[in-house]
Amino acid sequence: MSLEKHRNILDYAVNFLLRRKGKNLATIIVFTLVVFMLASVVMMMGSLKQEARETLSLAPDITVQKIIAGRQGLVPLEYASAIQNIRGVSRVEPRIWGYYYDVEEDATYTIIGVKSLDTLPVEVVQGYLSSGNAVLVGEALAREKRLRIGDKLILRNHRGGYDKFLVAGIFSSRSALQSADLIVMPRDKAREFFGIPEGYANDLAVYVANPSELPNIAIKIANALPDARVLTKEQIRETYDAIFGWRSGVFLATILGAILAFAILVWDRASGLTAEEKREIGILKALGWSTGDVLEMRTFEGVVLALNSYLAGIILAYLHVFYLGAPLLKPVLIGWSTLYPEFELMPAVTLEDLLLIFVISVVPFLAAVVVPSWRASTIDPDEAMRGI
Amino acid sequence: MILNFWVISQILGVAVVLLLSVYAALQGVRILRRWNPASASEEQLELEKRTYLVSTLMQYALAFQMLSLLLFVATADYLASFISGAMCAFGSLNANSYGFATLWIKILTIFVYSSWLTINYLDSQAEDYPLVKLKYALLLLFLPLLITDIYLEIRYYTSISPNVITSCCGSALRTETNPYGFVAMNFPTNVAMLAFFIAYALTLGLLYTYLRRRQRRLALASGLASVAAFAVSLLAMFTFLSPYFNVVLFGLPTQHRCPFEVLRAPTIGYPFYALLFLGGISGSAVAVVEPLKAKPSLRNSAAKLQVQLAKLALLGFGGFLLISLAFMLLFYSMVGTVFYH
Repeated sequence: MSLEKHRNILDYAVNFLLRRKGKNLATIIVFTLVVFMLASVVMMMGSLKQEARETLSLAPDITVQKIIAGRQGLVPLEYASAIQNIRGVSRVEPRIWGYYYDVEEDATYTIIGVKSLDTLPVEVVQGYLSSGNAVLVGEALAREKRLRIGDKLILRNHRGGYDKFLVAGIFSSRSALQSADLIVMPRDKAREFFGIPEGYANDLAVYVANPSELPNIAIKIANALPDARVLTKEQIRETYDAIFGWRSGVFLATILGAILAFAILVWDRASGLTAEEKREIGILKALGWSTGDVLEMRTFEGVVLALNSYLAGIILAYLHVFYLGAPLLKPVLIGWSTLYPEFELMPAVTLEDLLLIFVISVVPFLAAVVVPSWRASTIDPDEAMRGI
Repeated sequence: MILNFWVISQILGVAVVLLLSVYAALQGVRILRRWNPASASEEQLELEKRTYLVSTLMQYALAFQMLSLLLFVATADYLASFISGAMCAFGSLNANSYGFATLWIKILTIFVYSSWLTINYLDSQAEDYPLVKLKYALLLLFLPLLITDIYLEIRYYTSISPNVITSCCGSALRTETNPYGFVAMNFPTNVAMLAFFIAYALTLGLLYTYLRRRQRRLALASGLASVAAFAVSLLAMFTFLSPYFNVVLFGLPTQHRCPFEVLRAPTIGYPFYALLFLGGISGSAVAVVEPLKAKPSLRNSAAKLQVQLAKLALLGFGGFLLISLAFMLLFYSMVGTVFYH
């Protein structure tokens, strides 16, 4: 029976709101916008984190670089055999890779040399592959340069001459961030193209059989090769996460002021009751509603308004981030957007994300309306009906 | 120092709770000083109106503090990805001495808030406001708790340093893995198991007998037993109980005694812990209400409330126990024993 009473009060609150669409519209719009902005950032962060994680799942367990005079230099291949001798290391692979700046497109591509092209997870045309100068290219790069399988790709090598390559396949990886700007070619070709001397590599990819030995092996490598920088996959992931986290924190810190302003706006609007609203509350009280009942009604009003705006904001943010590709946020949160011409964000929203957005938007709102709601519910019925 | 979206939101949430409680306490002081139920003055009327404000503020504060607890655990889980050796919330909370201290104080405040709201509810049932003095004096007790909460939390976040690859150091400087991230507690699991079942037998038995006999000492005893059962359940989740969930749900090794892992299956984890809190809070409230029966105007409503609370406590603890047993059974069907160590 008492539940029925609360339900009726809720009903009345919804009606009360609907009868004042105009007055509440401004609050709803601003509230939805606030949730939309916050949710866009949170969703994009989650998605980028996911993306970075997927990229890293392909990364080697340990990357070994050589540091010369505080800067990264080429690694002599003797290092590879030294590492191979450490117990627990299953494989060491010297890597040849680098960046290539394309003047025409004003974009930077990543060129990676691999032992053989046909082991990669991409569909290739065998006839082209055997031509000797075959490459595989990323999807975004192919789109930008209007490349199709079988087309020629001309790149300027380190001597200033032009090398001709044949596109044998295009990556259509599910996660675009990891292969969008990629050109993959045989290792010897890449060495020749960049002019990296024989007996050297850019870095060494070390694979470890048992992941729990990883930290120990990393220490052993660092001890054996004092001029090497040893990076584990885990460290790289932590750095990625910390950077995304830091960027979003800076973003939130800048709009914290906006949230505060919003709370003040809400406070103000909830405090200013119109004469008509006052009269209505007066009549309710004259009809026998207690202060507690009116207070409950006003609270329901706030909750209904908040939940609707929250949901609307979440839905809009979802559409913005995952369907439109977050056009409003990309420049802020992805520093390298010129490098990656275009990529889609994978939907990745968790329950915790929704809780986070709830705490930062709905909680300040509800806190701001407590006192005004109480004030409205303690109006003296006699005074209110007389319209003082 | 770590500053990101999660941390800022968390601190904002706690600040809102503190703000509401401080405001409520200020109102409380005013009511305490001027309260005079015999008078029909304008001022007394105004103060009576203000009691509504205080109870609303406190209800909000409780609700927000509960959200804050959830968000705190979620934040810790999120931070695990920056902290070396931390696999989930457990590792992050263990990163410095403030993490778990904050968690415990948050749980404590939730108990204190709910007790206060129980008293407040009873008071509002009576015509003559019999508990006003007690209620508003108690309000002042919240502030030290909340200030400790926010202080510990800020210390916690400022003491964490995220691991970022800087230009000079590789893995050599920090490869130590946090052993607590994997094996939660050195507490002997057999003792914890025994304590768990004894506490549950005792608590459920006392609550049931209380409902049959309605005796004063039974009410007090079941309140105490409920608090004990709550604490022992947490201990159990840190020792022998969580592996059943972690093995059945995620196929993790039995050494992984992390109580937060189960939250990664939200449809099981959250209701599971909600039942535990329901049991603990309503069980302890049975004892909180008992001395209030001394007031003649409260006797009936307090007795009625006690019965309802005892039933809720039975539901909460019973549900928690049943889910635990169900997972032990599932574990048994997978592994062939429930004694895995």
